[in-house]
Amino acid sequence: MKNYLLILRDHEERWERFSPDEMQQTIEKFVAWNKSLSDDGRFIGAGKLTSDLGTTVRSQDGDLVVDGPFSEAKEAIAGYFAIRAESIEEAEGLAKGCPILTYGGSVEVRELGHCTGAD
Amino acid sequence: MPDEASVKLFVDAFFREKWRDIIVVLTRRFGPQHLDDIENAVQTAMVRALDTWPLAGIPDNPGGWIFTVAKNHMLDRLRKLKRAADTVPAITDMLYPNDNDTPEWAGPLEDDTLRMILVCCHPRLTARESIAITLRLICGLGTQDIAGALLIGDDAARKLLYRTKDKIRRRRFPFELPEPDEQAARLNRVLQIIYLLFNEGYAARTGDDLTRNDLCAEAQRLADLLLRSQMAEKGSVWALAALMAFQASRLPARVDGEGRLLRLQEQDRSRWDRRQIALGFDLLDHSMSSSERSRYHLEAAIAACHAAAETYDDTDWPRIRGFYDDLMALVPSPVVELNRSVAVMMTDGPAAGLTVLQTLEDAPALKDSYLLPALQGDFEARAGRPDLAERHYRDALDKSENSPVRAFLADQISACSIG
Repeated sequence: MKNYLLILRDHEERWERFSPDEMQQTIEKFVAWNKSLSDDGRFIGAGKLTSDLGTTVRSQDGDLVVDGPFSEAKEAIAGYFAIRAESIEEAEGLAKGCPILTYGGSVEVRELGHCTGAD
Repeated sequence: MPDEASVKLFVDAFFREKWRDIIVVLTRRFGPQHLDDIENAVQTAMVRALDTWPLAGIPDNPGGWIFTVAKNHMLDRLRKLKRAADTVPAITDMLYPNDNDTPEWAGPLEDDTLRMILVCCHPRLTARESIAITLRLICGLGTQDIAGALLIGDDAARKLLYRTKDKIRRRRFPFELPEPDEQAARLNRVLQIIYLLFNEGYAARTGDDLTRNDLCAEAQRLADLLLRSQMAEKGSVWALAALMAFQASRLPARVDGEGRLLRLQEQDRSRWDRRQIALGFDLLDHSMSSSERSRYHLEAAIAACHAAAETYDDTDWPRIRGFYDDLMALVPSPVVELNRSVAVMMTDGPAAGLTVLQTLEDAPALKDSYLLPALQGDFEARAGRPDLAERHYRDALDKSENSPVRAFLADQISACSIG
């Protein structure tokens, strides 16, 4: 088994017109998906990336400039899931169950390489 | 894919009830003049929950979590307002609540919910404004659903809601229970709004479905809220709830498998919802405990007669006719008279029914309704005059925009030419 990182992206304003019922249904869908990953032993962890805090540091003509946190203004990283899967194809398959896709968001699947300091 | 229904973290309508409760508590605290900010604060808190909980996990006390975020958001907003207008003492008072407030600002919610409903159904709002703002604040429906309920576009619904909140703010509607002498009138307005909402669902005016059961359910929920407030002592509230339960019991039987409209005489009565009927009789019993006899008492009694009849032929038409006569005496209107004509026709024959209908031909309230010509067509057909019946049915067809109704009328027209 390898470890994969699922990066969830969505539009920030997406939820704003949801009714309370729709919000409840959405949260329940996510919890169900999360539970199915856990039940299959695929789930490692998940986290939220707060969208309004963060910067990007990059070099421009020798100077370091600090930019906003997002590469694209419209689609922000909402958070991530770390999962286990046999292959990138299988990880993709699992990512396809992510409820964010039914709301117009996207999921990027990345294999996690060896990380120094990690066990 | 997992079975989504197997993960039930919240009771049904948990968010919706929290939505209403938090709006009510914040409105009690800050007043209806801040409704727009209050609604924003609760929406923001719920969006944050939606943004956070799926990834970071659900907190132990989800309702408290949402409330705290909403309250803090509201306080932040008020601090900004205070900075903008530092001389306003009222805002300072709000920011530093006195010691009587418990930390959660908790208290019995029932009567505050009633206060909120009274604000939403204030007589100085139009029926449309009241329905929209009630569906939003009390029922927790989204703008899109409200647009659907009122048959307007999303943008129009958003503007309508905004305008209504603005009206409430500018006219300073108080968040309090009316004086006893004013209470009956205010309650009547609330009942009227609930009834309008129910009717909107019971007989959709346009579209492809005959009924909009979701709106009927909202109306029944609203009546239920009133029954949990001090308004429960008013018999008319019970009577309206009874009426809606009887009417709702027939929702599953009003259309056949193909979505075609079925009249009372054609409905499969085994499909009537027995729980709603039992509820209706219970509520009607309660409504009789005071001496008050409202229009809802009479309408519920009529609906009860239909519910009690095992077959169409068992219907006690003389009794129904009597209730309609009383109703016409209590609240005379062309719409009541239109309905009474059916009871008259059933007791005294088609000619008597047609005479009643004739008096309604110039009524402005019925000018655009398909119901008058449709009944005229039915009565003429029963009187053995298919040619006249067909003419009325054609007139009715021109006036209806609802697909099942139109299909029904087209069937009647072809029956006339065959007959």
